[in-house]
Amino acid sequence: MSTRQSILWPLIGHELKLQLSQPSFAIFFVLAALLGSFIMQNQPISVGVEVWGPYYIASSIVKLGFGLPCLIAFFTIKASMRDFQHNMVELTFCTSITKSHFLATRWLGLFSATCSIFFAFIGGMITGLHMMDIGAIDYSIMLTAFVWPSVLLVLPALFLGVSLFFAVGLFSRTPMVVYITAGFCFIGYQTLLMLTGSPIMAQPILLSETLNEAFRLIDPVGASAFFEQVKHWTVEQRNSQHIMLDATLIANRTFVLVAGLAILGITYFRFSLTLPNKRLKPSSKSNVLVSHTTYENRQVHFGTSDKLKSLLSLCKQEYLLTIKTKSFALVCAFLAVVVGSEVVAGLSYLETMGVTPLPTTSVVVNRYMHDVIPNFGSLFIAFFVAQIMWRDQEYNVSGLIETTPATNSQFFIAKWLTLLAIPVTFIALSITVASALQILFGGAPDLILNLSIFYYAGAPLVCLASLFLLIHSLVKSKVLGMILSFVIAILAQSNLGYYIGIEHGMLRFSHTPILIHSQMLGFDASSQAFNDYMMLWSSLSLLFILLGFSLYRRGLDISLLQRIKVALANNRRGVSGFALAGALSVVASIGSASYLYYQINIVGQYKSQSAMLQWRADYERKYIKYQGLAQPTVTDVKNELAFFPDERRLALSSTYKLTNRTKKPINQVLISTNQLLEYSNVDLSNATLESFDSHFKQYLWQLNSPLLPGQSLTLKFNAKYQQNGHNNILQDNFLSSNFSYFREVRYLPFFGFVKHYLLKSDHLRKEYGLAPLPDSLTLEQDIAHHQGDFSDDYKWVTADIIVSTVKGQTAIAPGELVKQWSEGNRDYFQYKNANPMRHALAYFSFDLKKSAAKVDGIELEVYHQKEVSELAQEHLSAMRDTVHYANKHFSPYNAKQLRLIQMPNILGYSGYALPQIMLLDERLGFGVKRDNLDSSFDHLYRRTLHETAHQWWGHTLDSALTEGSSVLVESLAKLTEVLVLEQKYSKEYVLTLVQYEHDRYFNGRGTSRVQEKPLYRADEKHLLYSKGAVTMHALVNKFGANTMAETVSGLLAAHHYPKAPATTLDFISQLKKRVDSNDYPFIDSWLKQVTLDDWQITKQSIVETSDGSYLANICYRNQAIKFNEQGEKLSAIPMDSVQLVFFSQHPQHLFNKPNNSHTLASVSVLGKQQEQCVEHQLAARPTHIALDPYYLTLDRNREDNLVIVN
Amino acid sequence: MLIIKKLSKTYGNGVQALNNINLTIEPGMFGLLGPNGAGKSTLMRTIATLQMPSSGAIEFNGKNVLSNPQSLRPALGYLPQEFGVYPNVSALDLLNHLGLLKGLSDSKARKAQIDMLLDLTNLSAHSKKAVSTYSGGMKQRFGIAQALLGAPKLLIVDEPTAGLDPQERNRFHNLLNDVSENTAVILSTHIVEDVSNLCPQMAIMNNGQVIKQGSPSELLNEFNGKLWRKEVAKSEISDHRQKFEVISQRLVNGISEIHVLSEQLPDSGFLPLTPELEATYFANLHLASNQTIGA
Repeated sequence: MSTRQSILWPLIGHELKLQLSQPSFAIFFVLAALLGSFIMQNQPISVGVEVWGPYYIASSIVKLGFGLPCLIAFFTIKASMRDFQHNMVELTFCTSITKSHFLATRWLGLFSATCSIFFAFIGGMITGLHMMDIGAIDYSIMLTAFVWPSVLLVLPALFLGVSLFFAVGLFSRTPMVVYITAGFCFIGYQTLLMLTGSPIMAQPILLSETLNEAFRLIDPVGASAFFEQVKHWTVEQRNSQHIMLDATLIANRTFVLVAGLAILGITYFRFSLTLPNKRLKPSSKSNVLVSHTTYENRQVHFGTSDKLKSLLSLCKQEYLLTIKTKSFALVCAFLAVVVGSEVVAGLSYLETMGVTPLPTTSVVVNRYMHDVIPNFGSLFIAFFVAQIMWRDQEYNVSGLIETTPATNSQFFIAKWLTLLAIPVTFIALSITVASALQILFGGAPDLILNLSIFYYAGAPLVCLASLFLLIHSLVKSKVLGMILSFVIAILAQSNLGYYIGIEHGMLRFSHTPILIHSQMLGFDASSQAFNDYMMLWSSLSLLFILLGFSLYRRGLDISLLQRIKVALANNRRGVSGFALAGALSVVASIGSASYLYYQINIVGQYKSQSAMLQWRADYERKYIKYQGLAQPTVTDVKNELAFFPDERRLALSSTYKLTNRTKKPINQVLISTNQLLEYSNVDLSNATLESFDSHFKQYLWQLNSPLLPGQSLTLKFNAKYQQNGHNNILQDNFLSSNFSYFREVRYLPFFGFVKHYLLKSDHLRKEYGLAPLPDSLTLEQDIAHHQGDFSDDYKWVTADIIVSTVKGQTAIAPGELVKQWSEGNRDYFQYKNANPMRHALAYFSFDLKKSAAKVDGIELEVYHQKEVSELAQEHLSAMRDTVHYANKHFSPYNAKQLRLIQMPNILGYSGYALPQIMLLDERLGFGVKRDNLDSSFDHLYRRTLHETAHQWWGHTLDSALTEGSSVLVESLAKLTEVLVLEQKYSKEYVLTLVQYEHDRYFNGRGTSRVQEKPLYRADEKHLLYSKGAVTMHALVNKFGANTMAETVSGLLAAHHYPKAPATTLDFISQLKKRVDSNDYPFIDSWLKQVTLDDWQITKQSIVETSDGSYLANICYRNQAIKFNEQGEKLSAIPMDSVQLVFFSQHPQHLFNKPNNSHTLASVSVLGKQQEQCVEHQLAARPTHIALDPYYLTLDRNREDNLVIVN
Repeated sequence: MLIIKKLSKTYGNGVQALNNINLTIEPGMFGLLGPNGAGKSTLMRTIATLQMPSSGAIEFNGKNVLSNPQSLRPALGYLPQEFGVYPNVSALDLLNHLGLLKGLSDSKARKAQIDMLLDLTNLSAHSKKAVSTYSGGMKQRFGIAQALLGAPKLLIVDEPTAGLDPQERNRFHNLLNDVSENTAVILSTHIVEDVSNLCPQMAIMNNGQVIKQGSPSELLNEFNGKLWRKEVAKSEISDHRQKFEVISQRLVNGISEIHVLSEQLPDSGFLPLTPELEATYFANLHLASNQTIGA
C-alpha cells in the first residue's frame, strides 16, 4: 500500500468520526427518525391503498426532498468550512494531504452524514409503520418499496445536493452563503413543484406543459417524474407495482448524476490547497514615527445631550455593523427575490387559462405580507438578534467598548433600536420591490396601505425581537440562544406547536390572526383581534425588554446569578422609574391577556381541536339513540334579523312552522342549537320541555299530543350572535361595520340527531372509543332503502323576512322586497317568498352600489363597489344570458329577482349560489383584468353563468341526498356552461375549457385517495366539475344541445319540488328516452363506467398520387381501460369512435378555432386494442395528424396522439 | 487613588485566579509583574469592571467600583491584553465612536484629541483603513490610542508592548511616562525591563497572589548579596539544580548560566550576581513556589 493510500483510510475514518460524533448529528438523527415515523403515521390514507405498498412509501419518501437542502447545508459547514472558521487553514494545508484526499474525505464525510440521516428517516418510517394499526404486511414488497425509491430517487438527489453545497461552501467560505443557497433551493423547489401542479403541494398551479416537461427532466428528487408515472395507477397497482425506469425517469436520473459529477469535476479543478489571494496595497506612507506631539487629555462630558450623542453613535454603529455584512446583504437579496417572485406570480396569475388580476396594491400586499415577511422575517430576526447580542464578545471588542462610560441602558437601547430597524428595513425593501413590480405591471401603489404593513407585519417581529433579546441576556451561549429563538419563531409562525400541545394563540408568542387585505374591508376582518394580540405581546415585550436590560450582560464571565443580584440591588436602591415601568408592563400584560382570553374563549367560544373532537364523540354517545327518530321539518319561516354592524353582532327573532312530513306520528322533538349563538325564549307549541342539555345545547320536548303526519306546530326562539374576529374567520358568517353576512344553515336549530357532528374517520372514531361507521349505501341500495322516494329529505320553506340595519346600509335577504321603512336610526327591509325555496337563507348588510337589469320580467341585481361598475355590467350580461337560456330551455325561474353580491376575499369563496342570491369573490369576480381577453379565457362570464345555473341545478332541482347528488348540481351546471358558452362565443371556444377540464380531471385523479367512482355515483370535485364538464361536452357533441336541454328540462318537470327528488339514474333515464338505443353504451361509458382511453397513432405515411393529391395511410389503436359500475375492470372493451384530423399547421393553436384552411380533413375512426389502419385522400399535404384533438375522450396519454409528418 | 482590598476570584471551574489581593495604587506608574497565568489579566479585567470578583472590594477615589462600576468608567482607560475590533470600520471611525462613548461629545475637541493620538501612535497615515486589516503592531498602537481617549485618571495597560518594535516600544514608554504625571497607570507585563524602566512602584504576582510589592529598589535590596551566578555545562545543570536553589537559567554567549539564591557563596565556581530586577523577580517567584510546595 502506498503512503498516500495509507493516509487516505485514516483520513476517511477521522472525517466520518468528526461528522458522525458531533452532537448535532445525533439530534438530526433522532429528529429524522421521528419525522419518518410522524410522516408515516400522518400521511392521508387512501381507501384501499396499503401504507406499506410501493406507492404510499415512495410518495412519502419523495416528500423528504423539501428538507434535503437544509439538511445538507447544515453538515456542509463542518465539511467545507471548518478550516477557515477555526483558522486552521495554514495548519491543514501545510500537511502532506493532497487535494484529492482533502476533497474526497471531506465530501465522503458530508455524504455519509446526510445519508445516515436519511437512513434514520427510513428507519423512523419503518418503525412508524409498525406502530400503526394495519393488517398483515407483505415484507418482500415493503422492503423493495423502501429500498428502490431510496436508491433511485433520494440517493442521486443527495449526491447532487452534497456536491453542490460542498462546492458552495468550499468556494464561498461563508456559512451564510450556504444557508441562503439552501433557502433558495428550498423555495425554488417548492415554487417549481407548485407551478408544475405537483400533488405534493397544497395549491398546485398548472402553468405550462413545457415547464412541466422541463422540470421532470431536472427535478433533483425525481418527484415530478414519479407522480407523472403513477398518475393513473389503480389501487391495485399502487399496492404492488414499483417505480419503473421509464424514459422520463432515466433522462431525469441521468441528468442529476451528470450534474453532480460535473460539479465535483469543477470543484476538483478549481480548488487548490492555498490561501485565497488578497490584494495588498503597498503603503506609500512612512511607518516611521516622526511626531513630536505630546499627549493631552480632553474634557469629557456626561450631560443629557452628551449621552444622546453617544447613544446615537451606538445606534449607528450597531446598525451599520449589522447591515454592512454579507449575511445581511444575502438575506435582503433572498427576501427581495422571494417577495419579487411572489408579487410577479400574484400579478401574472389570478386563475387558469391566462386570467390575470388588476394590479392593485391589495393583490401585491397579500402575496407577501402575511406569510413571507412573518415566516422568513422571524427566522432572520432570530439570527440577527444573536449577531447583535454576541457581536462584542465574538469580535472580542468588549474590553474596549464595555469599559467606556456608556451606560447599560445606552447599550441596550441601541441594540433594541437596531433590532427595530431590521424588520423596518426588511419591510421597506419588500415594499420597494413589490411597488416597483406593481408599477411595471401598470398598477399604482397605495401609499397608505403600504405604510400600514410596517405596523401589521413589523409589530409582531419587533415583539419577537424583544423576546429574543431577553433570551440572549439569559443564556450563556449564542448557539443556545439562537436555537431557542428559532424554536419560538417556528412555533409562533406555524401550527407545529399543535403536536406538543401548543395550540391556543395566546401560547404562541407573537402569534397574530392572519391578516388578508380586502379591497372591500381593508384589514377590518381581523384588525381588532390583531390589535388585541399586539396589546398583549407588546406589554409582554416591554416586560422582556426591562428584564433583558436588568440582566444585560456587560463584561466577561458575569454569571446570571451575579446579574440578578446586581439587578435586585439596583432595584433596592430605588430605580423607581424602572420598577414602575416593570409594574406597569406586568399589569398591562395581565390586563391584555385577560381581555384577549375573554374574547377568544368566552366570546369566541374557543375549543381546541381535541376538545372539539371529544365534544363530538360525547355528543354521539349521548344522542345516537335519537338517530332515526321521526322529526318535523321546517316549512315556513318568519324571521326578524337585526344587524348591528359597528358592534359586529346580530339579533334574530324567529317563528318556524314545523310540519310532520314523515309517515309516522311524532311524540318527541329534539332541537339542537348551535354553540356560537346565544339562544333564548325557545318555545315549542303543544309541547313540554323535558330537558335542556347546556353542554350540548339540546332541547328535548315532549309533545302534549302526538304530531300526526301532515300536522304542524310552531317553534319560536330568539338568538344573538357576537363576532370579534379573534378566532378563525368563518366562511358562512361575517360581521363588520362595512359588510355583514350571515348564512344561517349551520346556526339555526336542527331537529333530531345531528349527523354532521359524527366523527367520520375510522382512525378518529377508534381514538375516541367509537365503533366504525357502517359502509354508506350505494345509489342503487339507497334507492331501494328509500323505496325510490327521497322526499323526506326535502327542506323547503316559504319565508317572510324582515332585516334591519344601520342607516345608509342596504339589507338583503332572499325574496321579493315588499316593504322598506326607517325607524329611529335604523332601516328596515321586508322580503317575502310566496313560493317555497330551499331552506338555505342568507342575510346581508352593506353599503354597496346596485347595478340592475331585467330579463324575462326577472329583476337582476349586482351589488358591488362603485369602482367596478363596468365589471358589474358584465356579470349582468352573463346572468341575463343564462336566465334567458334556462327560462327558455329548462324551466321558468321560480322567483322575481336574482341577486349577485361582491364578497370580501377573506371569506374564501370563488362563487357560491344560494336561493336567489349568488356570491362572487371580489378578486375573481371584480378584480379581473379584462384587456387580455384575446389571450385568456373568460372565466368571469363562465363563473357567473355557472352560479346562475345553480338556480336551476340545486335550487330548482333539489337532488336526492344520496350518491351522485352533487352530479346533478355541479355537472349539470357544467352542462349549462357548455350550452351558454357555445351560444355566447362558439363551439370552438368551449374546447379551451374542455381541454382544461380534461387535464384537471387527470390531475385530480392522480391525487385522489379513493378508487374512482363512475360519474353517476361520483362525489369528488375533479369528477363533479372536470369529468362532468368533459362528459357533458361529449354528450352535447354527440346528441346536440337541444336533446340535452330537453333531457334536463324533462328531469326538472318530473322531479321539481315537491315531486320526488331526482337521482343521476333519473337523468340517465331521461337522456336515454331521447336517444337511439344504439347510443346507450356511449351514455353508459361516460356516466356509468370509468373509461380511460389511450389513443395512439402507431404508423403514418403520406404518398403523393399522380393527380397531385395525397394518400394518407394512418395506423392507430386505443389501449383503453374500462371499469364497470362496481369498479371491476372490463376485459372486453367495446369500440369507441374518435376523430382523426389532418392539419397543415401545428394544431396547438388551431383546435379551438373554427375549421380553417389549416384543418385539411377530419374523419371518424373506430378504435380497438389492436392496431387499425385507415386510408384517406387529401387535397393538400398535411404537416400534422392528430387523434381526438377536440377532447371528446378522456385520453390518459395525449403525447402519442399527434404525429408530425416527415 | 485605587485601593484593592482582599480581592479574590474563583472561576466556575474551580480555578482560583485571584487570592486575597490587596493593593494601593496612587497616580504614577505601577508595574504588575508576573508569569503567564499569575492572574494579572484577571485582576486588570476586574479593575476595569469587566469581571466581577468572588469577594473583596475595589475603591477608586473613595468610590466603590464593584457596586457602582459607572463611577470608575468615565475615568478609565483600558488596553486589554488581547482585543478585537469590528470588521470594516476605520481607525478614525472607531476612535470617533469610542470618543463619543467616553464623553468626548464636543466634536472639535474629539477631533483634536483623535488627531493627536493618531499622530502619537503613528497611525495618522492609516486612519481611514479598517483596523481589522492592521498588522499586529498597528493594532496594538490603535489599542493604545483608544485607551488614552478622553481624560483617563486610571489607565490600565495589559501587556501593552507585545508586538511593538523597539522604536515604538520606547515611544510608548515615553508616552506612558507623560500620562502618568496625573494618572494612575497600571502596567501589567511579564517583561521585567519595562517595569524596571518605568515604574516607581510595582508588585509581583504569582498563582493569583501578590507575592511582593514595593519600589524596584526595595525589591533589589532584599536580595543584595544573596544571588550568585555560574557558567555550567549542559550536562551539569541537572546536578546543580539538585544541589542548589536555582532560580533561573539563561544563555550568555551560547553558554548556560545559572542563577542561584544562597545566603553564602554556594561553591567556588560561583560569582556574585549584581542585583538586577529580573533576578530578584525570579528569586521571588522561586521563594513563592517553594512556599506553595511547602504549604
